[in-house]
Amino acid sequence: MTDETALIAAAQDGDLKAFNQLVLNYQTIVYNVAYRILGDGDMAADAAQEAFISAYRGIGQFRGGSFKGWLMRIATNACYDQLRAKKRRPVAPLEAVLYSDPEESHLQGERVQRPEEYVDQQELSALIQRGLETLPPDQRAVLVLADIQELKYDEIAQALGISPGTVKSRLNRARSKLRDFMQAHAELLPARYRLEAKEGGVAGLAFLLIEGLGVRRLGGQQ
Amino acid sequence: MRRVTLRKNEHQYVTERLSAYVDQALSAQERMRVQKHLEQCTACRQELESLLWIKRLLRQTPTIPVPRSFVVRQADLDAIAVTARQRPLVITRWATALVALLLVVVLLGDLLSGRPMAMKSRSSLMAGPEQVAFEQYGTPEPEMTMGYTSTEVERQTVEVQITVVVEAEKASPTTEVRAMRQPEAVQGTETLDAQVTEQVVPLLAVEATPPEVPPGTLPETPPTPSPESAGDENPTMTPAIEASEVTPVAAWNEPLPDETPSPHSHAALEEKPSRLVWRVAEIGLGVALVVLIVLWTVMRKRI
Repeated sequence: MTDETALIAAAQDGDLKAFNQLVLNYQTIVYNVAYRILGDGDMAADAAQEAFISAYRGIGQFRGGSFKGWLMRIATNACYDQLRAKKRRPVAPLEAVLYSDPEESHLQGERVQRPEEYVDQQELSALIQRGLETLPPDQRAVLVLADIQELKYDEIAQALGISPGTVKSRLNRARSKLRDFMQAHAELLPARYRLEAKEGGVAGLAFLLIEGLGVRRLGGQQ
Repeated sequence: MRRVTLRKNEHQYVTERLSAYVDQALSAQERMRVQKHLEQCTACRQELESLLWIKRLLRQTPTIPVPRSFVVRQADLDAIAVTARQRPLVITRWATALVALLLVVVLLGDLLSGRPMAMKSRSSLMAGPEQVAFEQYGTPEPEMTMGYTSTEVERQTVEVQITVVVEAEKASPTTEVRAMRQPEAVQGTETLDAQVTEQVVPLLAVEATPPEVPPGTLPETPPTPSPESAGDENPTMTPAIEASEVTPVAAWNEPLPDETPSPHSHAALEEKPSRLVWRVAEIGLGVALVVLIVLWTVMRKRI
């Protein structure tokens, strides 16, 4: 963390090398956020590159706090720019983007996986992407940041320029909507990921009581 | 009855907070209330379960490796700096328009109040360069200006302008404007010529308007003959003002004549010098106009 602070300070003095060290640390998360919000690899790459260039040019304005949150704000704005540009001149229908080349091996198993596990994961990834596309961009963004990238509430608030209260309510709506989509398309989901209907939702309560100790606290002290 | 509504309210209270409950983002008080309700409400427990499920699924979403490095190169930043510099300054544009407007006001006022005086002062002020301007004006071939440096061209075009304004009453204004437009039509010969002329043409068009009011009507038109109050003559001024403000801006938005035939791949870098000339021409014209106005006023006072 102090390492990061030093890199930021150097970058603020115009040290491009130091800034690029930050780029290397954050490019995966920035690209993945963009990919999930945009649903297209090329657009995500453009947004990520745009975001890092803007971040370098604007790093003088970074006044402490969460660098991740600050960077995510620039990244989501770059994504919104891409979405607006796409709206102005649509290149391909959304469906084509979503269903094109499912074999595309961008999800290389970095960890060694059994083949069927890898295939299942790809199916999950594709279905989640489809579900995200059904959400409005602001809900999509909050869901990606909170549940895929596991940012804290205050970081999300910073990234999206909204209050923590809005994060809560928006996340609530986004999760319910995605839940409805996933339940409606449960047959497309590999068996291992399905929600087994246990009677009375007892499992949910038990799960929470057990996992409650292990789950990372997202909301700070509140 | 009251219990039912209470319970309904409680149910809504909890469903609104279940998502935050999953994140453990509730206050201790809220948390207790939610838990108490969960113990007795099956539907809410199912809802909770599904939210936990979604959260778990999303957390398992595989990370996609970056397709390339997003390291920022100095070249990217330079490219942006070039683009930023290419953007014409709005202030410069408006300043030019304003100065042109001032010139129109002063010249018009001068023409309307004391035309002979203006003629006299002008001829005593610049006898030398005027000759060149007249020559060039007489033969408006684009090749004439090709050999000159940019400042020469600017100075001369400004002088040509004066000539046009003053001479406007003798000859018909349309022919003069057409004559000046000719170099613009010859594209690709010398970009400087085309640009400077393009910029001057709108001004010429504006300044050529006064003669449209026939000289015979002059005594009726100016209610106050003093040049300072000439700006108040709105009826005759308005079309001129509009033209001078709108046309140069429109010219900016049009692509420069040398942009399209450029065969080079580095279009952004190739554009740079021509933009610079454009800017210099604009500033030069503005300065020239200011100097002209000052000289004009001084000369008038002296006589």
